[in-house]
Amino acid sequence: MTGSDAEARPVEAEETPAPPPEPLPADIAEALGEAVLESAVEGGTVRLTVRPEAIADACRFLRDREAGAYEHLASLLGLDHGDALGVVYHLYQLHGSARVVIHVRVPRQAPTLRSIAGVFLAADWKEREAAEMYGIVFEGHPDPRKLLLPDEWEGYPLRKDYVIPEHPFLTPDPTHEL
Amino acid sequence: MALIDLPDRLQQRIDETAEEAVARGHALFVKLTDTPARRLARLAEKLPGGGKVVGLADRLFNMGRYCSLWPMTFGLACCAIEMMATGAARYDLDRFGIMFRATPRQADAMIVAGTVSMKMAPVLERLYHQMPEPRYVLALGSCANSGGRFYHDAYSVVKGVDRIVPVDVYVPGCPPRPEALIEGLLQLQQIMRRDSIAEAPKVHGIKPGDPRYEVLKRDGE
Repeated sequence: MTGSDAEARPVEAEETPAPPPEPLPADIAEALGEAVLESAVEGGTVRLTVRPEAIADACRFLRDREAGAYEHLASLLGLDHGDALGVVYHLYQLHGSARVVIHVRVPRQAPTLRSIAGVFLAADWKEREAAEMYGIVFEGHPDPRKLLLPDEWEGYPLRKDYVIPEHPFLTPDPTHEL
Repeated sequence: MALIDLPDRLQQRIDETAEEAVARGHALFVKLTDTPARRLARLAEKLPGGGKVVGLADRLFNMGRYCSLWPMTFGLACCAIEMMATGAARYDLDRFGIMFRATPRQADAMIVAGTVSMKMAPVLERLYHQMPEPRYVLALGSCANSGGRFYHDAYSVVKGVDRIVPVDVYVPGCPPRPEALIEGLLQLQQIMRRDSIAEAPKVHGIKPGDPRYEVLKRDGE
């Protein structure tokens, strides 16, 4: 490439027009139907927001889907939205490159959700972690103990309103300044 | 009792620590436990020529201790990787007579290598008490020294292992290189040379009222 070519090119690339929204795959739309509150498709990624009571059925359908099954639960995270608590599920294909991201919101006052440990075995420990960190109750979990925190731990440390308790081991020395 | 001439910089550091401790109203050393053997040694010191005998015995015992220092493996986080590297062939702790022992019962020192979480704290304390006296603690890395990068806004990290057990040597770094750990262990050997069979093990700057003192007293009685 010569220098004149580089000068001739515009400094900033022109904005490419946004691609038209892709439709939700028909079988997913049909099977989940009313359970889907929001959906978006970008490339190989399907983003869904589903009703909390439908999460286990949605996961089971996606795991057993005939046109490209999402058999791998890559991650399960809790979220603190303030007025609501959330859970995010990432499902991947073992024989493809597509993925599904499922968002669920549950009210902060009663954060109850059906466990998907019966659908994905990997969800067992991930749900235990989300439960102890955010206080989300996963109904029907086979082993609802704490995973990482000590058994006698009180409070949910990853919630935004968590206050670290005063403790001789934990409290920073007030004479130490940054 | 100064049996062995310490290097100047170490002696200077000890003197400074003593002055600070006195200024804070802390006793520098607390005698924690007494045993029949120590009472016997103190009695022998009073006999004519007994001081020399006890001094010789001190040198012998101390040499046996610091020339075959067995630290307990206590790898908690990434510092443990550096500790393993220090023990392996390239840095080779064996040449100092230092060999890792995987039990507290036969260990002289505890190298706390890594982040101490609240869940690990009671375990660490129990292992410390399972070690025979005299026992020493080396805090390896910023997390064990002070909590390090978890000092602020961490709900599960102990802000320094010296809040649980008394620490003799602090090795800074995140993580410290093996050379730093070797230097810390050599300093620990110098500290071990100060001990006497006539006295209880010395603990830096802990006075009654300090929660750590209660821990030690409970252990000594």
